Amino acid sequence: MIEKNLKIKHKWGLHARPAGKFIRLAAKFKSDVYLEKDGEKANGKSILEILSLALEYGSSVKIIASGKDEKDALKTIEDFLSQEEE
Amino acid sequence: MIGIVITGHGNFPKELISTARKIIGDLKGIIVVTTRYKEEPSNLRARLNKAVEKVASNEGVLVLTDIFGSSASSMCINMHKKYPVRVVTGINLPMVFALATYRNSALNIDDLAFMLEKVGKKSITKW
Amino acid sequence: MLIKGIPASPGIVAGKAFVLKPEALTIPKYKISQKEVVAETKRYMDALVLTRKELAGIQKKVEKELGESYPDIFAAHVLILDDPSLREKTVKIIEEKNANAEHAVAQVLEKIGKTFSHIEDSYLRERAQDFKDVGRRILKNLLGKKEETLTNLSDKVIIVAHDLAPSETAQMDKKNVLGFATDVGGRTSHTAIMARSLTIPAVVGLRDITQRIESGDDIVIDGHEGIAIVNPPKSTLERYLKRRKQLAVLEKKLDKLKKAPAQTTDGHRISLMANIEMPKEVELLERYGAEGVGLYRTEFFFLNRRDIPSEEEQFQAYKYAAERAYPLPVVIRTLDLGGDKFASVLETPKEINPFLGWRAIRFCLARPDIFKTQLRAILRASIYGKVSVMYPLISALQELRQANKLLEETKRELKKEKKEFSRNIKIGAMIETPSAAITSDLLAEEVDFFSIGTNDLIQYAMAVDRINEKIAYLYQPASPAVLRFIKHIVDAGHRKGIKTAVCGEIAGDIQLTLILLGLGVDELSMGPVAIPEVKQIIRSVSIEEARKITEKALSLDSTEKIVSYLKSVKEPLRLLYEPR
Repeated sequence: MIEKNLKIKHKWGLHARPAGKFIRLAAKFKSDVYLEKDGEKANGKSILEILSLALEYGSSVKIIASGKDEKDALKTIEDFLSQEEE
Repeated sequence: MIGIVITGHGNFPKELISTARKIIGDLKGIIVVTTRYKEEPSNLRARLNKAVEKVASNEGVLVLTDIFGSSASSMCINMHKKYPVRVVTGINLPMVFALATYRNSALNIDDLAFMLEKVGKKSITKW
Repeated sequence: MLIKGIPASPGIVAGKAFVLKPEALTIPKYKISQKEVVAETKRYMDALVLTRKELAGIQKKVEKELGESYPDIFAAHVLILDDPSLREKTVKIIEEKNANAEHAVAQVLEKIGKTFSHIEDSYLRERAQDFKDVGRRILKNLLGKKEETLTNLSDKVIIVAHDLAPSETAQMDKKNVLGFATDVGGRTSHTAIMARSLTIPAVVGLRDITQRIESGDDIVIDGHEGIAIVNPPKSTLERYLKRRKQLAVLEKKLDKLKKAPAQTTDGHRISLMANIEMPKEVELLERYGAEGVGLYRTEFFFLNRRDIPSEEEQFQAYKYAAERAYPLPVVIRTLDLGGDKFASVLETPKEINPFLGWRAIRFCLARPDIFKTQLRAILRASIYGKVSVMYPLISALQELRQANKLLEETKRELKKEKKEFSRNIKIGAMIETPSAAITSDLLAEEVDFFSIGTNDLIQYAMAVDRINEKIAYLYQPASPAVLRFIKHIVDAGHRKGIKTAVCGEIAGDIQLTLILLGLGVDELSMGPVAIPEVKQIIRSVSIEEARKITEKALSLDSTEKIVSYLKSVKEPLRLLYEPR
């Protein structure tokens, strides 16, 4: 299992469209993927849990990936969340 | 049609399927991959790959194995194909029955894997 | 019973109502045995599978009908349907509480509602509705209920609903639909767009019509006036049917005019253009004989979403419009939205007076990142047709200069990137503020054309908020003030050798066509449906007559006098309604 902390750079936060993209991205990996904000953990493959986290521009979030391809998963997600916009 | 591959230690998968067939009749479109003790990993991997590719469609391939953590399980879990490959471990007879019934419903591969896991677990009771 | 709403699609129709009411679902709750858990889980899964199929079918239909650029809400619904967490939660309830699937789904939906209600962000909070919609579909499939769809209408009916979503209209049995009447919505809501594309009448914003009518009741809707009449008395019904017949005759006559030029009897030409909101509407140019798009409102793109459309998205839309319209011209207006639209994201305080506030060009100049993205898209699209760009709400020369400066900057950037665009793209300014009107002589020096946005100009000029029922009567297009404003602007433009268009609602108002003609307006841009009638009027007078009428009208000192004078000049108008 590996983790990384970062801030959401998406201009509009992780609202519906990028959240959808995020889910599709996470689904590609075999590893379990979680985003944690303020102690709340959300399954990165669940649109419900990700939206409920309400990730705004500038929110601090921890990415947790666990599984055979966790390194890849973490890198890809980190890149995605560090983008400024779609 | 979702492709099905059943694998496990020794002849277990072969016996499992033939037993199931005796009870519920013919089971079509399933490839059985028996394994040998101390088989060369690269050899096993090639055989599993071939089996998966044989039954593949864009709906994907569901691999049913006997034990989580076995070489066969790990190899299949880490397969990367253009179509989805899912693995359900701990296969038992009730799961094979369920497989026969569910294959004709319109479940996609994730739905099917989900249901087989449920059926497998639910069939384990204690008295 | 007469209910007033908002006209959404022109025409009059009378018929039986078909009221689309969301069915109240009774959720059964019962216990299942442990043995039945697997079967119940399977039943839930089967419902998911069915729902998945449903959504795929609807998605396809909507795409086919409205094109790919139409907002795709179904992508989100599909994600929700396949959400592993939702599935786990539901099945857990079935297993652990020995509950039937319907109850489990209802429980999960309730939980979701609670979770989302705590989210501060209003846009995200609204996403809860998507979950509810999907949940409702799943429940219906579990209960074995057929969707109350419009797929099989046994008779021709007028659909009455709270609102109409793309998923509903996509499956509609179109040949049996006579018109729409909805509680909510506006000119750009889906109902209106659908009705216009089907060329059937529609009235929206009727507030509570679904509560005041039953399926099978008689209803008349007038899409011109925005009126719905439930169970009209015989005399009223006859009156409307007569008018409908007149309109049908008129339409036939006018259809012949499609190819005819908009020209007075003594050869004076005026251009008749169309106002559009979406690229696909370019198809209407040919149908109604428009000579181009005089106003492409780009706001539609920006609505109903949190982020802004990307340059690429916008480019594709503008390119489509430019290409399809070619060789006819397309005038694209830059973003005319209020800053309040973006307030939640930019954390700006709510404006007390958004109408006089941070919107349109002011917003764009303050947000060059957003403005330039749009300009880039427009410039890149300009090589695919005859594209001009127009700035809304210009209130001073300084603003115009700033906007043009940003346009030049954008051009330089594109040049550097070796991206092609039309070097000499024409630039226009919307004249809709009194300050712009009175300094139009100054503005005329630095633009290629004017377009008078009368909707806003009248409000600002007469200090009237037309939505305020108490004073809406003061909103008077045919008033001396407004006519003088228009004259001033047109004259200022002509003196500097530029043309002036009118693109507000009055452009399509046949009561005012003669005056606009006589004032020297060079172009009228209106909802395409109005073009044939306006053309007919133009073709039945000489410019001399029009000028005389205008002179007389300008000499009158009140709206009442002007309006009654115009009514008396009914000769050309009378011709329209005589069966010949």
